[in-house]
Amino acid sequence: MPLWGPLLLPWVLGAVLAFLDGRRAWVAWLAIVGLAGTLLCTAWLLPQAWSAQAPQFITGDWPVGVGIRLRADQLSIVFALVSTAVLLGTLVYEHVAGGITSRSFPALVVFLGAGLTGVFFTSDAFNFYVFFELAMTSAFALASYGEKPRNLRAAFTFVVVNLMGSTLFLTAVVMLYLTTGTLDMLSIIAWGQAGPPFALVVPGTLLLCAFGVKLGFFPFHFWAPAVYRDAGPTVAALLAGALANIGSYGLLRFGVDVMPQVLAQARPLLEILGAASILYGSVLALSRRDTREVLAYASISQAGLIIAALGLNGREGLCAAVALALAGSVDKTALFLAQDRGGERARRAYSVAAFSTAGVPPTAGFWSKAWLLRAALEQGHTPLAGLVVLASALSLLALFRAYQREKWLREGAALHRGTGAVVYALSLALIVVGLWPEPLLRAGRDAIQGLGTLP
Amino acid sequence: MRSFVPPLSRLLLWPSLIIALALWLKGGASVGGGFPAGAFAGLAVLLQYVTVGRDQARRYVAVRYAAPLAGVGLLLVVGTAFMPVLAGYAPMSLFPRPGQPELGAGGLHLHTALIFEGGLMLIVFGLVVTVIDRFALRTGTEEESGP
Repeated sequence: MPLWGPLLLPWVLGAVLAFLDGRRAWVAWLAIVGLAGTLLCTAWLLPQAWSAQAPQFITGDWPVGVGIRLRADQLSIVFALVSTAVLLGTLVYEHVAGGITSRSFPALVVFLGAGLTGVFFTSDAFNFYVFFELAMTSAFALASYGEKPRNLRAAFTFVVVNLMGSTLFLTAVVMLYLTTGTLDMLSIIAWGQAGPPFALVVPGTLLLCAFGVKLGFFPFHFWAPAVYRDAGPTVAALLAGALANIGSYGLLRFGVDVMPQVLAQARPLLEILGAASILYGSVLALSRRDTREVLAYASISQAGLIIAALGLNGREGLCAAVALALAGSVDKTALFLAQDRGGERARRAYSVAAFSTAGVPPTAGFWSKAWLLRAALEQGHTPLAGLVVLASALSLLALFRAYQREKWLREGAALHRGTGAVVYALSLALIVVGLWPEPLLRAGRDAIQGLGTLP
Repeated sequence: MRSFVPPLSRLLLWPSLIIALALWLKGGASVGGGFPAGAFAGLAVLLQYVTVGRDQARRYVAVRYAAPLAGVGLLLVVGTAFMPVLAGYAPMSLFPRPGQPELGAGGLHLHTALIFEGGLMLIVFGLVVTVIDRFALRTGTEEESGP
């Protein structure tokens, strides 16, 4: 499978879908089949990404630096796979849950997929921004889906905060170009190895802030509770499950791969931010009454875990960060989609995803947290290890307190079979990975191994 | 007393669009390109909305069909980006290939990048005008139903 396959498919599909009425069932199914095709094309690239030479091409066959390099290493592939799967699950859910109410919803989800795939596959800092903006623009439009006043309020907050993040990101890209004279990531890596060690600190800090806004860790979290509460559950799942991956992927790509020297200097700061985020998220999750707000604060705590993992010295912490991001993405999608539906399957899915978020075995979340715990203990960061355990206990408590308040969790209301199947499949995936963690662990380890420039 | 602003803004529309076209055409060799061209044309239309109102601004076909125009632009962009793949070239390959004889005269060079940029211009123009139109529609209905 050539690398342009998973890039071409969502673009063409999105362009076609833009002309069609997304409320019709066949249009929604066309989008679903197309996204499934994108997922297959991406999965097809797996063996190539794991081979010695990662698949890549340069647009227009221009020399490097003139043409844009697109490249799919292990990190790109695992993030692309999980994000596309989350988008697919959410689209299926929204379609079978009672129909899509907006003309443009399937096209926007597919465009979001096109933007995310582009972000994960590009190897050019400015091109990263272009795809990032494409994904954000689709997300801006999606955030107002439902078109009730509360949805629009959520969309407004989301747009304003994220436009600030985009400005920071663009400034960082311009500074990178002015400092290094190139936008190609591999050339920036080569420049960084030879160049002065503190040259990239300012763009690195700006990137941390920009991705911080996307991922929503403390102190960039302020938009998350309002948006996740007021947007519809499907949109919240899209934003928390798929779009937030840009933040974790961007931090891993720019921090670990492109600017490892800046990451090395930023480690203490990352660990402090991570610890603050974990504490803040877990304690406030416990104090909230609205379950969606609880989920939002749990996701802030989750983002804190990823940041703290990045702040640990050595590869193990980074591998744990990848595993945390991937497992967290599925967790949050399942939690948000199970909201308000009722029925046996949604209840089970909610509990499984809540167990996974808290890190209770046998779930995917358990392994990623255990990995972080081990890395923290190996490095002698006992307070961080203690925080991870505390956060797990607190989030377990916060998420299961929902049983006291939410009627849909207690009463066996009838659930549409299709929506139940989607959340059920997501929670099943969490359990399967919990029982057979080898793929997750290997994805984490190889994704970081493939970056290669780390000490 | 009649204000001079509406007729003046109407006079400005066509020169602005011609400047936008020029930005598009010279983008290959100098400052310009599809994105600024689309944004510029969109601003020219915004001026019409502000000065003469939504109904008058929608007299132009391109304004009425802005959203489909963006779709056409998207098809052009995707087409020029991925069509070369069918012939075995890398995506976004330029035709005529570098070194092959060029079409065009003076500063104007005809190549597929121009189509790509044109598509980009249509996307930006279409999106800008659609958003402006939505806002105008919203404020228009609010004024009618308001006190």
